[in-house]
Amino acid sequence: MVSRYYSKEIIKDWLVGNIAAMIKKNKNEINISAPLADYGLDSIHAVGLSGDIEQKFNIHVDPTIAWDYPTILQMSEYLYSKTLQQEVHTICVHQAVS
Amino acid sequence: MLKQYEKTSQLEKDLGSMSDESNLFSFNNILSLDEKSVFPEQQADFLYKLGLADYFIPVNLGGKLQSFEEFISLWRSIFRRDATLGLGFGLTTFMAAVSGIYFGSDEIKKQIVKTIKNQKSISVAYHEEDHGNDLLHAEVFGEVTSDAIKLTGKKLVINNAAISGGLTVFCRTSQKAGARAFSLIYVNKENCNNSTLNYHEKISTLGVRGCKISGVEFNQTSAPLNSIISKLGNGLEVTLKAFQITRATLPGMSIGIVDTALRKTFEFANSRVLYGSKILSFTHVYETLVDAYIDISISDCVSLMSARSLHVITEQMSVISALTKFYIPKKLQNTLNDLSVILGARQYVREGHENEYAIFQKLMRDYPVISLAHANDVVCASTIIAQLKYLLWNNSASFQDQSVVKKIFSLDEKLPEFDADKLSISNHGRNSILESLAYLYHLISEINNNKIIDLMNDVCLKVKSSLTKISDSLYELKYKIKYVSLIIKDFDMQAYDCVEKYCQAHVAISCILFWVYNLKKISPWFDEGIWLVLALQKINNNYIDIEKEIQKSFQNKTLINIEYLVKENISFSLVPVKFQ
Repeated sequence: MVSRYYSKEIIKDWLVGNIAAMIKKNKNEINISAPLADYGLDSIHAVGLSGDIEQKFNIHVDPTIAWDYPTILQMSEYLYSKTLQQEVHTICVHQAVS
Repeated sequence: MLKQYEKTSQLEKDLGSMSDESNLFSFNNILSLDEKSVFPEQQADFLYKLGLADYFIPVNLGGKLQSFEEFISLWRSIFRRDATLGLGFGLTTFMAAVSGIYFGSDEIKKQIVKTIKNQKSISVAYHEEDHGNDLLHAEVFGEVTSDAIKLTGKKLVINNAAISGGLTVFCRTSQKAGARAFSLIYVNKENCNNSTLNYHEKISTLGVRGCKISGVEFNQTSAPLNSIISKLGNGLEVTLKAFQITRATLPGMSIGIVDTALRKTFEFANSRVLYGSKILSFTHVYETLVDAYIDISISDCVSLMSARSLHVITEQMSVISALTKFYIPKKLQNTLNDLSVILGARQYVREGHENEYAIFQKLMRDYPVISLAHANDVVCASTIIAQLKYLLWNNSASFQDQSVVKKIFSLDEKLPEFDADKLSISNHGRNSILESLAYLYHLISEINNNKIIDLMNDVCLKVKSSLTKISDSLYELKYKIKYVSLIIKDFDMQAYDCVEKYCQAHVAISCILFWVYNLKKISPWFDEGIWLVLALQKINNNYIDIEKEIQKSFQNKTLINIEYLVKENISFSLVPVKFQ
């Protein structure tokens, strides 16, 4: 699995953009501390969001990620540590191989 | 005969002919009970004696449920006689049991098995009057104390609520917003204070009139802490996983209803004379009958695909089960409507010699419940649409292992044991069946080039050309989906159309795979592939081009096959089962 470094800001911005597009709102209308459910994103669509995350960051996430990290802020914190872990893992594997 | 159909064959013998008026399961008996809104108790007792309820329990827990393919086939025999019995005796308990059986503690499993073995039903208590199946707004509250959960609130439109031995209750266990605020509780009526349960009176319904549908009100009903299925806050996740099993199986059972409808309509068309000839010879009539047969064949392929996928690609059932529940009931409801046109007044009038076809009225009343209950087509479509972009754009998904599709579609391949732990609420962008499209092209070429079977009318070439069309339609869909809203409130015709197109492609590929992997295993009629060509045309008119003359000859051959199956009393399913 190819990985790369994503800062917390990049992850947060991407989530805001993705969710704003999903619910047809402007980015500046999105409150990163508000539960996604407040924007009409129900549990099924939150599962769809996990697919977008997997594709964007090339990581495997639990489809319930938006249930367990219900705000953009919480989700971006979690994704930051997850992508970081993935990157460290990739570097270690690369070093071991070379 | 394939091993997984031996028990259905025996069950058909045990249940006897529906035309025999002395039989417990005769049309007359079933219709008469239905019209009095009375549940067929004697028939249910008979099914208990036959051990049918043991099929709700997996083999490793002392039951008989081994393969979902066999399970569906058995219940199709019940549904073709009476959907009231199918739901009231069968599916309701199965739906209520699966969450506890596959996700509950050993104690819950033990209690559920005991309830079923004691010949008691179990109820599914999800639905609330104000919120329907909008589970995230459920109001029934479970207050968690140090040693128990106390339930308060009302669940309505609950089958068998008052007579069941237990209830699987979906409730809110936290006042916080979000999907983790809900839990699933198994309320065993044997060990709770029954005076805290108040039952609503029987609710009248248009169809399945004999079903004891009512409601239940919990008044501080106390259930021990170990009644929580899985763990606190996991209610929605368990529900979405457990429902994949039931949504994958219910539609296939309902094919039995349409089998009866087509049989009766054919008998009528073959005996009714108008304008000096049997109406069977009228173009509209025989085309409708052929269409109905083809609809059954398509639905059968989808059902088999879904049932076997539960064992083989369990982790992909989120989309496959929704697709099955979205596609089959809608298609078969239309089939029934079309058949009713042939019967005309005979399906409307209730007295006199028209009595012979009166069962059709019941079939028409009963069938909508298959579509309405347990997630209607919009709910299923929203499950699919939420994942559709990922499914279509997942570049890392590629066809890797042909043994997977072979295991799903080749009926003589032994199925692995079902492992519920593999169920997931997302497909993670994978659909092994659609991913096999390019490989399927190769398989069809092989059949054609090596003359594996002697085929007339260029069936292979027609099927091969349809693969290109299916591939084109998926490519088109990839770009269309980018502009579709994923929000259920904004769900429009464009979104609905995307789901339809995706399902059509999946269904068409399933039919072709089913044919390819079962050549020389089922019957000469199956091998000939006429049904497949007509099915592809029926799934999507753009998938296949058939010359008018060839289409006519295919329809005639199909009609001859229908006539043979009616005369010999054999099911319309692709794997034929002899009736009594």
